[in-house]
Amino acid sequence: MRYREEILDLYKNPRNTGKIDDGDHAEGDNPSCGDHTDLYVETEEGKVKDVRHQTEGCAVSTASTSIVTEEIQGMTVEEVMELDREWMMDRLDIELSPMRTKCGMLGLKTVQKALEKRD
Amino acid sequence: MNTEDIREDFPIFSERPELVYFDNAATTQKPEKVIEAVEKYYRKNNSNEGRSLYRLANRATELYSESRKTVADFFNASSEEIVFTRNTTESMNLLASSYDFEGDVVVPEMAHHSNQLPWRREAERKGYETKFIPTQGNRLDLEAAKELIDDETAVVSVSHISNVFGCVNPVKELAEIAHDHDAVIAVDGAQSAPHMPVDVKQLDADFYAFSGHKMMAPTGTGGLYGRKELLEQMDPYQVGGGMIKSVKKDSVRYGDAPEKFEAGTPNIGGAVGLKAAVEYLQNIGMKNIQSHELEMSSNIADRLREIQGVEVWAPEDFCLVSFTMEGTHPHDVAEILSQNDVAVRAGHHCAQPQMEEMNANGTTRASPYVYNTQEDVEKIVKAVKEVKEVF
Repeated sequence: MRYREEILDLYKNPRNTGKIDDGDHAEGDNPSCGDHTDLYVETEEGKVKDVRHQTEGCAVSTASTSIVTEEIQGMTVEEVMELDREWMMDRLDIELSPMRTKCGMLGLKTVQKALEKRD
Repeated sequence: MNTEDIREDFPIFSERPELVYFDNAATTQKPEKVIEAVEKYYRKNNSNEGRSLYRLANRATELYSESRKTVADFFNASSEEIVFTRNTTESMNLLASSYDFEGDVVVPEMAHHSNQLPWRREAERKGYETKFIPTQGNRLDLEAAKELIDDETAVVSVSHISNVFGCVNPVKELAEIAHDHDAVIAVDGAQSAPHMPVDVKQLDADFYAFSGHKMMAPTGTGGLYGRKELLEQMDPYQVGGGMIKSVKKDSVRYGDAPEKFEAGTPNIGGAVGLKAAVEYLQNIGMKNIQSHELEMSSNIADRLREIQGVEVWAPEDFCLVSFTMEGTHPHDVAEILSQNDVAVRAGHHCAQPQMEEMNANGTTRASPYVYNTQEDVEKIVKAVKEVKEVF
């Protein structure tokens, strides 16, 4: 894989960081790497209103989590739940080895976990 | 010892001439002699050992027990004190579950998960505590160990060489402390068996676990040394074929050590490969291997320390190099090294409590072996400089 400029930028300057006190929250871990993310989502009328994250991890997991937070704004919960690996890999636009695919999927999986918890 | 000649013994380096292999603490490459021995076994001598009586089976039985003898000699033990297992992890699980201890367990903070989890789980089940010997200056804190190990301690289980720092821990001193309190000492030898001369009697170790695949033997090979009288007292880990004296409907008598710990058909082909690996190592000489690694490691560390933003987590006299780079995750370091054909491990190295203590999300680890060259050192240094350029 090649580190695209955008990935590096998102790693150094992650987007939508922080937390939402009343939001749905989930933690995501990538046990083999030690990547960790705290993800917060706020929904309104079945749509994503705001999403924030605090991620400690490698360039791929940090950048992909930022991408997720940008892309899902305004999507319906159902739409977010349907997003898959292919969607994520298209957004990342880099070749990932099997071990690194987990890094790339951390943000999406965690946001889906947070939404599942929704009442 | 000529490194270039040694390299030629390893087919992988002619298959992949570009490969710079610095992940030897995870597993090592295999020399032609080991590959040949395993192949020859399956082509010429394959059958079950310790059971059947025909000539071919006798040969398999001989080969399996010759392997055990070779391994026993390598560690200055006797054959009945060596149990064959799949790896260090299995050895430690066997030990923690079969050794009937009554008291607390003491492990180093730097311990590999396979040297702490089997003990922690058993201690918890039995209602005992697990205590951690802290790390001081990338070394095990012996003074703290003296305080921690007391009359309540039943087992001290310690890494001989840390897979995070590459430091050699004071096993002999720890054995003395443990024995003063009537505790046993188990040694995780995963990183020492391949890299330095090991004499279990001199270490005064009660148990010593090792992995064959980290010392040039096939994967799925390893073992556990146990003092004879201790192994004799222990119950089997698994039960089944090949490990009994007699089985009646109302009673079972198990066989003697080491067979009673090896239920089922063992990894005979692997044992044959392990014997070939040990002989290969003995032929080079463990002292030569150790000094070559120390040289390679200190060359890597010295060069990496020159690069701004690189922190080397190594004490004096280490046989592998753990390092971190400011502003770059270890996985990203490893990825760029991989693009330069440099194979290293990045992550927590199955030592999460230690990483937590270091406040690190992992390290990148370069672990050299007898076949690494100065050219390899140059290549890794160049690749690390490239990481700096990208990030």
